[in-house]
Amino acid sequence: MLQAVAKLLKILNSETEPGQISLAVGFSLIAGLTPLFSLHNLLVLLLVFILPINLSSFFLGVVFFSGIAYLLDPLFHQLGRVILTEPALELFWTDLYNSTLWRLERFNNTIVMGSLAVSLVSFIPVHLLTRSAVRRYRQSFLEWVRKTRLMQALQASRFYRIYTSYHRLRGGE
Amino acid sequence: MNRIRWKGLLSFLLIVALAAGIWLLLIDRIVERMIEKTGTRLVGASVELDAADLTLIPLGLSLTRLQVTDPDRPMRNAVEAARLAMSLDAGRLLMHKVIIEEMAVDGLRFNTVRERSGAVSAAPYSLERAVRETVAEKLKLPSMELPDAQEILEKEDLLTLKLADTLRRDIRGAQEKWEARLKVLADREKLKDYERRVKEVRDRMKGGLGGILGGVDEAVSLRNDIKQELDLVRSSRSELKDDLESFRVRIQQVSTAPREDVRRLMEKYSLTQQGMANLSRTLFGPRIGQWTEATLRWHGRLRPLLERVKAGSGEVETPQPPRGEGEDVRFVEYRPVPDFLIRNARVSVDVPAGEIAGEVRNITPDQEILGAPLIFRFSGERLQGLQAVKLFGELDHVRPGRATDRATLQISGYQVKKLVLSDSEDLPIALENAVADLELRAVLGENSLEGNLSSDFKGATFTRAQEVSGRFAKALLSLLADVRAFAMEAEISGTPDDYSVRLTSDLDRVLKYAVAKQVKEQMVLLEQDLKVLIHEKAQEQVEALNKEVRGLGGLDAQIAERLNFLDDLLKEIKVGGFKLPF
Repeated sequence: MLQAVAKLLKILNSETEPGQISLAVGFSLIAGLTPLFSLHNLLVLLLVFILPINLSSFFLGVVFFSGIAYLLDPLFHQLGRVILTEPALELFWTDLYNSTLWRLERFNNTIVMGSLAVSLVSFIPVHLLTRSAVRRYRQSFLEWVRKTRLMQALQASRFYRIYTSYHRLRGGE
Repeated sequence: MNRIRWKGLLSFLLIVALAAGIWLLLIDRIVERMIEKTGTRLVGASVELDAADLTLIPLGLSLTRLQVTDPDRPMRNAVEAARLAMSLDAGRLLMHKVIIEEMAVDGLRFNTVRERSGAVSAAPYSLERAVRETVAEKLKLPSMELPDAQEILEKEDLLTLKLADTLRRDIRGAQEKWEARLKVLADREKLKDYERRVKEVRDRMKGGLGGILGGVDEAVSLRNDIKQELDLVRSSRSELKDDLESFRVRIQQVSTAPREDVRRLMEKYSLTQQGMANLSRTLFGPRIGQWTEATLRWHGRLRPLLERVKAGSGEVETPQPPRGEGEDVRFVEYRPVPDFLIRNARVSVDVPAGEIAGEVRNITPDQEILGAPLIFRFSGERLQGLQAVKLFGELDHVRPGRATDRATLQISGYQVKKLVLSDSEDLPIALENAVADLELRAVLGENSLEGNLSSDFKGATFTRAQEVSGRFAKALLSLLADVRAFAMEAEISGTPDDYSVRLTSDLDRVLKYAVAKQVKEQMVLLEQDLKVLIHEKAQEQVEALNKEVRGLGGLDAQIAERLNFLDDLLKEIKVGGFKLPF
């Protein structure tokens, strides 16, 4: 846990562009909320590797959002059922159901559909919010944090030693 | 900034390749666990697999040593297969449809011994039938042994003895009555008095005219008294004679009463032949009932392979799916295909007699989608102890709610060895040896069951008479010893939960005759014994009664004596030395 927080702080405090971090968080939202071994996550993984996206943020985000997904599974199930049983969409779903690729994707599973719907809808807002938050953190919050007694105490603490040793191992200052 | 990280693509491909490699390494084990887990859940008992081997090109699966535990006997396998090999439709598999075009099953065996128990704690798909005791239980043979005549007499009241007791009481009562009466009827004192008066009158008549005149009144009075007494004694004697006569008649009745007793007891203790009317059902019925129950039980277990349990309108509640699994919503398929289908399975079955080969087609719980029933056909020839066997039929569940399953089994030249037909203590019977040909046709509907079994047994030998005790058993088996061939027909009809077995056989004729003969012999012996014993008892009673009656006869002699005395006295008055002038 400590290492994860240290990692997060490193990311936030690094020179990585906020957009790369926020995109990573966005994609981790999809990979974390939906069942991990779904076909669409292969695409997500491909995009994460080939696009300029911060991998550490992505993997941290997957872990975080997987935990959130466990809590929200009943909601995803209900939402997925509503979407899949919507009469206006029946013909559309029927076409997909008769396609091998979409059957492989298991779109007709209520949790897959519910979680994918939520993650796709949330992708852009999460991306934008995260980017804005990272910028804000770097501009104002970081300096303030450094000056607080808490930060000073932290710096003197074991946590800070782990953080700095981790930072050095990774080739930081 | 570079928009595309080509190194990242390489990393991605490496990861995918690594994942694929791990998948390839583990997939056999994953498939093995999946089959064991799903099979255990469906059967309700442990399903084990030694190994699974998945091949990708072409897509196929082979399983080594599949064991399916018998839920009723966890230390035995219901079915064990040495090897199963199948080819799968890859395209359909991607659409979550398991379509097996061809499957070969080698070394299929039934009822094999397990090394460890295959019981599991929960059996959610248990479709067990309670064993029907009314058909499968041992049918009790009615007892063919009559009770001993002595035993019967100890238990039963005899009319003979009742009559004798009543008569004895009456005779004794009469004895007392007449003894009391004799005390007042012309007793010795009275007779002496009469004699004295006669002498006085005679003496007075000798003393001149005065004496004669005086004696006449006295003589008349004495004569009247004696006459009166005489009449009384005569009537008493007549009454006594009537009593004696009636007692003699009743003694005669006692001596003839045994006939009635014998008749009544024979009627009560005669053996009815009702229980013996269909003895072959009694002998073969339980076994047929057991086989029927076992077949229906296994049919129930295999039912999930023939049709899905469907939720009707509000009949079955769809359970909430486990957390994280969700529910798969189904849509119309443009080209419907069952979710699971084995188009053709070639099976080789190892039985103790040898190997039987066959094929099964269209194994699927979605027959209504496939549009074709399950068909099976097995045959074997020149087997050990069996000339030929054929089993074929179809399980038609194409129309839900109107399923009809048909099967025909033909066996020829089956060497029957020590087939126990009855282990009843009264009548243990086993068919020691025979060669049987049999044909069974069965049809099982949603709510109907019909079956017909025809069989011929040749070269039959039954349990030897010397090996049993019991008169009837020996007699019956002696007759069966002459039976070399017999036929048997069984008809099963009703519903799976309530059916009846009607059985007829040539043996019924033999058994009926044997029973009738044995019953007749036993009855004759019993009648003879009863006659002798009851007659002896009657004789004793009659002798005792005659003795009592003779006592009464003695009283009659006394009365006769008094009668004669009075008669003589009366004559003396008329004749004895004096004569009345009128």
